[in-house]
Amino acid sequence: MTVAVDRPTDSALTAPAQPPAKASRQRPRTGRTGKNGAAYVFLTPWLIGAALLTVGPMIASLYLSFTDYDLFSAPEFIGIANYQRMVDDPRFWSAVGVTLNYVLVAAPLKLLAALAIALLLNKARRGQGFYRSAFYAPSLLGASVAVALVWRTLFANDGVVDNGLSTVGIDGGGWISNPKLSLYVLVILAIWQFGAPMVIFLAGLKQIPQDLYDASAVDGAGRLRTFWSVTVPMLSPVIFFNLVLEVINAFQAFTASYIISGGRGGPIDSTLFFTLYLYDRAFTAFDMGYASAMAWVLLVAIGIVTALIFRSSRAWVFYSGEEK
Amino acid sequence: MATIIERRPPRAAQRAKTGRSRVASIVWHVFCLALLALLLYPVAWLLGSSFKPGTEILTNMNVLPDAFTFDNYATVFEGVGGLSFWTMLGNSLLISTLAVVGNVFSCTLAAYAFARLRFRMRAPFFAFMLVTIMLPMHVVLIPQFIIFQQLGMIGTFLPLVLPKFLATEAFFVFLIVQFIKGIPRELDEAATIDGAGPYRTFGYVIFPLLTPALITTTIFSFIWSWDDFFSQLIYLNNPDTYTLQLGLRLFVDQTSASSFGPMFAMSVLAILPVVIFFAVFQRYLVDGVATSGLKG
Amino acid sequence: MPRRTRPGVIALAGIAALTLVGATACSSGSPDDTAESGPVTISFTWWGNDERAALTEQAIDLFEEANPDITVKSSFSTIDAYIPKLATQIAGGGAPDLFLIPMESVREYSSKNALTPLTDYIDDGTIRTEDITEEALKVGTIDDTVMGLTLGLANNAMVYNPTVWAAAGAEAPGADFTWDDLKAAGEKIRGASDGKTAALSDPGGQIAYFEMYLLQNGKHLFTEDGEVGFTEKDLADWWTLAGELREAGTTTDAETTSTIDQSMQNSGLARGISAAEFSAASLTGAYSDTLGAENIAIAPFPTDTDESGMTLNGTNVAAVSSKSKHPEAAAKLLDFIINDSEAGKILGLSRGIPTNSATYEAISPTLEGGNKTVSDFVSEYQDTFQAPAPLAPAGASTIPADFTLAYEQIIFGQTELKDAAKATVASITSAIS
Repeated sequence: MTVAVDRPTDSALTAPAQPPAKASRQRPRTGRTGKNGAAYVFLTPWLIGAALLTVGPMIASLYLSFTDYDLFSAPEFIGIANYQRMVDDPRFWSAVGVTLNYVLVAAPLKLLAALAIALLLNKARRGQGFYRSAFYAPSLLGASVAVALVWRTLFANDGVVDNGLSTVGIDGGGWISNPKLSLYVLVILAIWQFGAPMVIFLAGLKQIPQDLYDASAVDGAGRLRTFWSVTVPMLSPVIFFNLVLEVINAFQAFTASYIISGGRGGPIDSTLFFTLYLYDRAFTAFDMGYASAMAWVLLVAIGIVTALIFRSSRAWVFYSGEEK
Repeated sequence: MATIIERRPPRAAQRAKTGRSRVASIVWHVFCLALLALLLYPVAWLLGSSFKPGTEILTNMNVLPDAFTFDNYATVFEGVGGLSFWTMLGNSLLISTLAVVGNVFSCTLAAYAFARLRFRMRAPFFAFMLVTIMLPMHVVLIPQFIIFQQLGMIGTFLPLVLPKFLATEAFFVFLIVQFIKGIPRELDEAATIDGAGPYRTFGYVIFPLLTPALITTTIFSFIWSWDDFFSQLIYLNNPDTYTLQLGLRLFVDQTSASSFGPMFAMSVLAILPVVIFFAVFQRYLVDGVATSGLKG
Repeated sequence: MPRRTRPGVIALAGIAALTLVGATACSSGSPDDTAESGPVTISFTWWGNDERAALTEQAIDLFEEANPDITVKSSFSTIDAYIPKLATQIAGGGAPDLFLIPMESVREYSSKNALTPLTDYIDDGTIRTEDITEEALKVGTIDDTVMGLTLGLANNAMVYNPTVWAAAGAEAPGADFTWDDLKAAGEKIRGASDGKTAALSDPGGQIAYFEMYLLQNGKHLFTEDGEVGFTEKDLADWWTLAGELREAGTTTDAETTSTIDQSMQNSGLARGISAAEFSAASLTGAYSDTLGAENIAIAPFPTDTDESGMTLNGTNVAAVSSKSKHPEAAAKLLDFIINDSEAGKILGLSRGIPTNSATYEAISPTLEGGNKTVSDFVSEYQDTFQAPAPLAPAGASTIPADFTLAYEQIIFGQTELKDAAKATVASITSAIS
């Protein structure tokens, strides 16, 4: 009975996959896997956490987005005025442009880098542990002042990158100080820190049963064929996960610009991420109402994009444990 | 896009089984090391700069110092603003360790429910969980602060640790959900046929097969709570509870002096535990446990 | 989607409502509820680096020894982290009893009722003001009510690298140094460095130095009434001057300027891109740490008028929270930090020239290094310092960043100077209205 109720909405989240011929391990499902009761036992911590720490603050922030709230005095209801203000706020639109640009470029490139390195490191070789740790190291630095110093210097006028490009005839000057290029300094920083998705890819690769590769070899499939018919479909839930998370992360990018641009998002707002501007409104301008409204705009935007990715996942994500 | 992936790494990685494995192995190592040399320059510069005198750091972009000194490390070990380095290290370790325990415990439970159990509110709850990843933290900060304030927890480690035991880091729930979905369902079904309910299926079938996901959760929980400057800043008041991240930032203040030398030394010292942690735990990513589980 | 409303939803809405009530009520101040007579615990937060932290903690220990019935819980971080934390605490109703705020924010915090007026404590002698000059008192005074007291005083000035200036054969800046003299020096410094080093980091986008320029010309950023104190023409004049210097090569070019900010790691002077920088004189020690003491000296601003454009500003203004349950104990601590001679010795010049003039006199012979340089500079040029500018009105907190952005738009050729001046005056006017 519950199954029937669940079914329609559920499908958006757990999309039936198109089983690739080689990798199909699906069996008809047998149905009964659990009861409501057991599910809520497992969910107890999450439910408490959601009720106590998440739902309240979210509703509060939604309410605040309709108020004039300076953090010091009580919020004052002003309807949709905060949302209307965005339309005429040039910096808001700068932030939207910068962020969209960043999401479109940084998220896919970072994923590609992470997947490439994960595949590179997946096979047992001597020193594998060392390589994994070494490739993860850039991510451990986070966006510290030290990283900001290096990055600013590398991409400065007459820095390593500028001089390197000059030798091949491209004299672009410093990237960090060029409003057209400064965002790409942050993109490269994001790609450089591919460690987290790499580890998740590695964990996913480890989960692929060896017998699938064996079967593929028996069938005489070449490496390329095996990659497409075994690795990609079996890894697709993890690719999907990383894609969703990296897109969300890119929308929420904050620290890199905060550190590297000294919190300003310059030059001339060229690295003004949406969340950086939001933070600026909240804690420099003490305009928490406007900041909350911005947060909800962001939430809706991310929600739409995530929903689209989820929808597309029906076509390309394959769960070996999923019922048809 | 995928062809780029295919063209390079797998070629290097997959030759191990062929007769040319020796050559392939050398090519692989050379390629990896070359790539690392490029990627790790900033890391090396950080390390090298921690041995430079303060007057050299902003002007010398070489990895190696012109004048080598241990003073920066000595300064850090003397304490930062009257705080002992070891106290801060202990606080960071405690918070991160509890975060790992909390996340592994609570997120695995929640993920199992979402991935395998059927219940009425599954779809809306799951959607809501995803939504919580999407909201920027800066706007829920103040309402959350008020809740912890009402609970009398400000100034303790609880606001940093308790949420982890309540599966509020939806990232990990989602991560483990994806992994559980990858575990073939016939394993559950076999257990069900043997008379196991959801609890035993979870305990004896799913949980042991989740090692790669749990290791991933462990590594990230540790590192991310280690690096979580902003929450630590907001919720910790007593200097005795300060963490390495809070201490580290004290070296660079725009309105007073900035001591780059000790800051670099302390950056290195603060990264060291996570490097060790990562190096130790990444071993368990080796050899898919799922494989052996499947065959059994 | 669920079709029925669930009781759970209502409960959750209840929690949300509670959260909001908490936000608006700003209820409980500090957790302890002891009566005023017994032992009390107060909280004190401030910002600064590791060095200032160690000194301040020592001073607090001294206070606790002298006042055994008062326990002080202190907390500190650097300025960029401090402001959001304090705002969160105030919004959450957990403001510390005693806290520090930048001078520019006094009116903002005061107008939002976050501060306790100190008049009563000054009148009853809890806070002693006899050794505090009128200028210093004025820093935290709004409409004749003292809302806070600055812990130190500092002036802005031109910090320069004497080694580079001398090597280029440029005239060292001093008392009668004009903007034209600066240009002449700039030519020599460019020439001596193959065009790589500017004489000065371009100050055009920093509102603090526009204020300096206004002072040199007898005006202020803001009037006593909290109105804009300058015209579009004044701003256009400043940016025109900055433009001439930039085009002459005296100051850094647009791209370089955009990589420079007030932090030491992005300082043009500290990185060797320029040979001088307008800065808070109190940062002299910080520059010395990064460049070597022999490479750092302070000079007055260039000026074409009789005015130096320098004032003694407040640095860290101590204020008592309006929600404090123990304002008297907080006031006692405030008094101790400013007026106690032992505490004064410990704190030294860590927050600028001490507000208490007796303390300053006592410690000035013992100063060394960067502190001595600053102190000597103040002694030498004190006569040229102008009266402190009126406090910035509430709402001014975003103005510096907007000002910088407007200037960047000019130097990157996105906006005409006149239009930028017009837009900036308009945006400042609307921010403070």
